[in-house]
Amino acid sequence: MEPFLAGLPLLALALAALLPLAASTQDFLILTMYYFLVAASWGLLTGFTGQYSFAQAGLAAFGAYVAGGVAVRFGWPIWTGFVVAPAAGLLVGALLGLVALRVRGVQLSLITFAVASAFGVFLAANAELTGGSMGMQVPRLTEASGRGPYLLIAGAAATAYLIMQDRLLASGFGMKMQAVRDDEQVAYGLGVDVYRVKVTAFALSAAVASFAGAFYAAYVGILAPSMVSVSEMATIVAMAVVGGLGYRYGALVGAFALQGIAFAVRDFGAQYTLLITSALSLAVILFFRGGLIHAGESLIRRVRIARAQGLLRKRNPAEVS
Amino acid sequence: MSDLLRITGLKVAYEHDIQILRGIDLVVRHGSLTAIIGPNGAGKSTLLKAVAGMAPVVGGTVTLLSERIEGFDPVAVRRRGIAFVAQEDTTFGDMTVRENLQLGGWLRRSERAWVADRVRTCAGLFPAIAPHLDRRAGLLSGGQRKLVEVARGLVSEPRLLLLDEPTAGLSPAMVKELYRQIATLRQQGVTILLVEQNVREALDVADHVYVLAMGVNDVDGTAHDIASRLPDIVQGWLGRHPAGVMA
Repeated sequence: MEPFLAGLPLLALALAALLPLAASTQDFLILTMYYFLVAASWGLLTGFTGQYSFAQAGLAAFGAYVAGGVAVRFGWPIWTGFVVAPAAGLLVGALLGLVALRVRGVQLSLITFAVASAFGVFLAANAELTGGSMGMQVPRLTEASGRGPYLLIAGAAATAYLIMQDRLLASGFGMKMQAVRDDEQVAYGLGVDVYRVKVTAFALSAAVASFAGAFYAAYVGILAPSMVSVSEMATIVAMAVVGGLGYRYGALVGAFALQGIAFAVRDFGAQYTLLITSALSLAVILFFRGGLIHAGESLIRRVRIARAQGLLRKRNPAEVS
Repeated sequence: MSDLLRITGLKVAYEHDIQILRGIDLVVRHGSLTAIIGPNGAGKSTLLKAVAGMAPVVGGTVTLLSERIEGFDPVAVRRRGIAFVAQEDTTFGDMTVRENLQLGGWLRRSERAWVADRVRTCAGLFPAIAPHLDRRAGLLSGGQRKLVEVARGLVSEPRLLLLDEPTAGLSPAMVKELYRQIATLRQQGVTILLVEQNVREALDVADHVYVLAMGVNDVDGTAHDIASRLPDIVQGWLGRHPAGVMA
């Protein structure tokens, strides 16, 4: 079951590359995968390690600008960004992790948010380096305008991430991450190397977000400081939470749910997208605190129990009077 | 039997003036079950925490085999094969029982096959938790969670298992079950250092007993020896430390 689920994004997007789909549908699929990767990398840090950082949108933007930067400044092909950006993200993430050793909880959230915001300001202010608010023009992956290669790369990246995440969470390091999430003090007392776990988790999470950003740069072709906006970060958080924090496929479900709504209303209510997705996020958080996956699981469980108790059997017509 | 752990003149103090342990001498022999009893506030738990790297040692030595380990952090202590089961609940409620047990193994050795094998072996020792391996630990009863913690300690194949009042807050039936397990572990040659307020249970399973009061150990002997002198010992606590009444 699990290997099949992890392979799903690659299968689906490969299929989409073969079918004669509308460009907007292909756009939707590709950007959903981008959001999935960023939301999942945030979920890895929060849902599995308990570190509430709010720098993920900033890290995605960092990856995008690094990839764009090496392409524009050094004239390297844009795909080199897929390697350079995560490597740089790994370092920046480790630095953020070092911050997390000193502060916890809401202070960590504030500091990481401040770092990301400062980066956004930096992007807007250094026009000669980043193009400022006019944006940075980035070369695309191919001369051709087809979206096939992007669909394949996005699907493969999503599947690769899910496989990596499965292996990570089943490993000794995964156990240690979850122990730190559940109770940092207890974990330390037991002999979990809390420092190492935090720094590594931050570094890994940032590397994934930076890769996603690099991919975004290569796909969209123009970068703007608005990538680091509050609403962008909120969208990422909402996706992870709506899907289900602490669930392996939470970000995937959340990204599809929120992007799907935006896609569905694009023709008649695009201006209401934010309103609708916010309302949905609120509803999920209020009524299904565990997120959509958790809600689905409990629904299935209830149906099973009801069935076992014979409550859902079709009524015998003779009984209905 | 040779010495596994030797503690000499151990002093522990929080801040500078609050001295909890004022010079403890203690030896744990290979394969023995050594119990520490004493009134409330005697420093029993602090002694275990000091060995586990979780209390500030300001004097004295703790020697494991031939290595001085006083002042080590919990990570270093655990790697040397000392497992600590704290008095409070330290299971991870959002992880499954199996994951809790695996964690115990990973803290000692990074070998998947070894960890899986140890989890199988140790879960098998505890019929009360074996059927619940894939449940979230938070859903288990307090007694079952305590067994999970002991099992998690054992998964690491410890040279020395530290048990801090494992029966605190458990039902009488659970206390019995736990002591049956502890007796079995002792027969299998696991070296255990046990802190216990349930003096009778402790004396039943222990080889050697130390009596702690006021941060020093004034009496020690075989379990049999201590059992026969128990009334005098308790009288001593009453005289010195009126608040720590126990029988």
